[in-house]
Amino acid sequence: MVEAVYILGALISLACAVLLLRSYLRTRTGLTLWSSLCFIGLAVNNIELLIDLYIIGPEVSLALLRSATALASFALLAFGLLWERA
Amino acid sequence: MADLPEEARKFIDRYIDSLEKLEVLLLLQRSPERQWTASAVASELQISFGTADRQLSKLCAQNLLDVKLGQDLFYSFSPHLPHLQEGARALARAYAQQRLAVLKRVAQRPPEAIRDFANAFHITKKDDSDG
Amino acid sequence: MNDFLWGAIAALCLGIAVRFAWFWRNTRDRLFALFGLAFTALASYWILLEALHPADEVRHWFYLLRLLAFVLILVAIVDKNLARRES
Repeated sequence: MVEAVYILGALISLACAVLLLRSYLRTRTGLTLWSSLCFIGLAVNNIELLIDLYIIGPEVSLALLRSATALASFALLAFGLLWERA
Repeated sequence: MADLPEEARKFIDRYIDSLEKLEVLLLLQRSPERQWTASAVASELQISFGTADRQLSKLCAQNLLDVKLGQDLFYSFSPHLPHLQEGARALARAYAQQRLAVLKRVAQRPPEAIRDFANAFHITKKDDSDG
Repeated sequence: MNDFLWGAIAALCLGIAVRFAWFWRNTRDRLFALFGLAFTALASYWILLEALHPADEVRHWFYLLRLLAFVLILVAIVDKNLARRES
C-alpha cells in the first residue's frame, strides 16, 4: 500500500516532466526546461525510494544518494526560478 | 491617468504579453502593405534577431499576421477576424493617445516564463492566446 | 552528511514555495498557489524528518506529506485543464 505512494509520486513527477519538456520544445523558455529536469529528478528520487525500501536489502542504504538526488532536483528548479527575469 | 478604452484593454490582456510583442505588432500595423523578415524587424526596432523571430511567430500563431515562405519568412499585418482587426485598431489608437497607459498595462503582464510554465500544464494543445 | 542535505533540501523547497506564492500573487493563477502549497508540504516533510528523526517503522506516516504534495500538483494540473474547458 505504501509503495503506491511512491509509484504515484513517480508517475505524477514524470507527467509534469513530460508536459514541461513539451512546453520547452515549443517555447524555448528556460524555466520549463529547468523545472522539467527537476521533476525528472523527483521521479528518480521516488524510484530510488522504492528500490531502497523494497528491492535491496538493509545492508545497503541509498539514503545519501536519495538525498543528493532530491537536492539536485530542487536546486535545478530553484536556479530556473531565480534565473528567469521576474 | 485616464483608463484605457475597454477594447484596447481587452486586446492587450488577451494578446499582448510583452513590450517587444507590442512594438513588433505596431511596427507591422503601421505598414500593412509591406512584408517584413525577422532581420528587418530586428534592425528597425533595434532588438535581437531571436526576439524578433519569436514575437513574429507568436503573433502569427495568434492570427494577427500572415506569413509567406520565400527565400526567408515574410510577415505582414493581417488580422484574420473582425474582432482582431478592431482590437488592433483600438490598440493603435490607444498607443497614439495614451502611450504611457498602454506601456504600463503591457509591462504589468506577468513575464513570459511564468506564463509558459503555467501553460505547459494544458494537456491538449490549443491556441494559447493569453500567452 | 544526510542532516546537512535534508536542511539544504528543506531550505530550497521553502524558497521555491515562496517564489510560487509570489507568482500567484502576481498572476492570480491557482496553479501557482497549489504548487506553492505542494512545495511547502515537501519542505515540511524534510523539516520534520530532520527534527524528529523518526524510526523506520513510523516513517511512512511522514511520506503522507510527500503524497499530499504530489496530489496537490495533480489537482493543479486537473484544475488548469478543467478551467480551460469551461472558458
